[in-house]
Amino acid sequence: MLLTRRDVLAAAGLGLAAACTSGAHPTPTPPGVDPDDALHTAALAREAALLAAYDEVLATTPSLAARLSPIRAEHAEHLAALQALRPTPSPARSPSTPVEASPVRRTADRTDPAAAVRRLTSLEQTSAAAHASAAVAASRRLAPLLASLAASESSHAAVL
Amino acid sequence: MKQSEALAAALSTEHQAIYAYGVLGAHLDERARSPALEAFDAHRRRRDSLLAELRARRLPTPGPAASYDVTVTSRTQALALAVRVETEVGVRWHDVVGATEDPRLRKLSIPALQDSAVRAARWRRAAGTAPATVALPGTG
Repeated sequence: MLLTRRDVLAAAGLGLAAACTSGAHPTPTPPGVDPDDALHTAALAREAALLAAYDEVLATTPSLAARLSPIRAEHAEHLAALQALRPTPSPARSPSTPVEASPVRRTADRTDPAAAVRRLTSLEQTSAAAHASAAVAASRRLAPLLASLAASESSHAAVL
Repeated sequence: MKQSEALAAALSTEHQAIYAYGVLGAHLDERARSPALEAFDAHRRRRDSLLAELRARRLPTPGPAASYDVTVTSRTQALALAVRVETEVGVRWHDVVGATEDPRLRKLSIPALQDSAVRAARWRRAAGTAPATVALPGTG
């Protein structure tokens, strides 16, 4: 499974707005709109953000490659699984604002391996919680995948 | 899969997990025994929560088998059994997520899947298995 940075950024842009709200409090959905759409889009954005975060740490801290690359590969699988389950054809819209996909702060400690692992652990926990909330609300078709992503990311946080 | 079948299968694997942890703990060193005891307790709590939901819905509540195929004579086998048990539990809870839209059952099954994935990863790491995690827990 190969993902270009463009794929990741496109997915992040697609889901940026939806990612700002978790699945915990879904807003009423107008008739004709699949309620899974927003949950699915937000999940795509979370995976894209995680991939971008791992890529940035791997680029700046190559000493972590052996530890992080297997987990990064699992996030690529997550993104692919979500894309395979896309509920409707991709809407032809672009983000209104430029997307900074990476949530990793560009601070002086960005090459400190321990600090980088702490940031990734925190991001895994946040994403797992958001996937789990979304899985409560999602349809029978989407919920098992979201629950599985939540489980995978909880386990990443446990072993990072 | 019907909701009642998925829930009954989840209960059966929780019975199996409780039995397995009762057996395998004795073959672990002191450092691994404590998480095994915690896992034993966690599976008992999950079983009890699930039993309460099943009884409230007047659904079948299968009991534990008289015994399970859990031959363990070494630390290696004990860790492998713990990974297998958590993997099977994860599959059954994952099935529950897809078999219901009841928020109460979703809120029971999703954390159960997450916890089984975390424990499986910790047991794999203790066994020296790499990678310790899997991309899609619960999918077999």
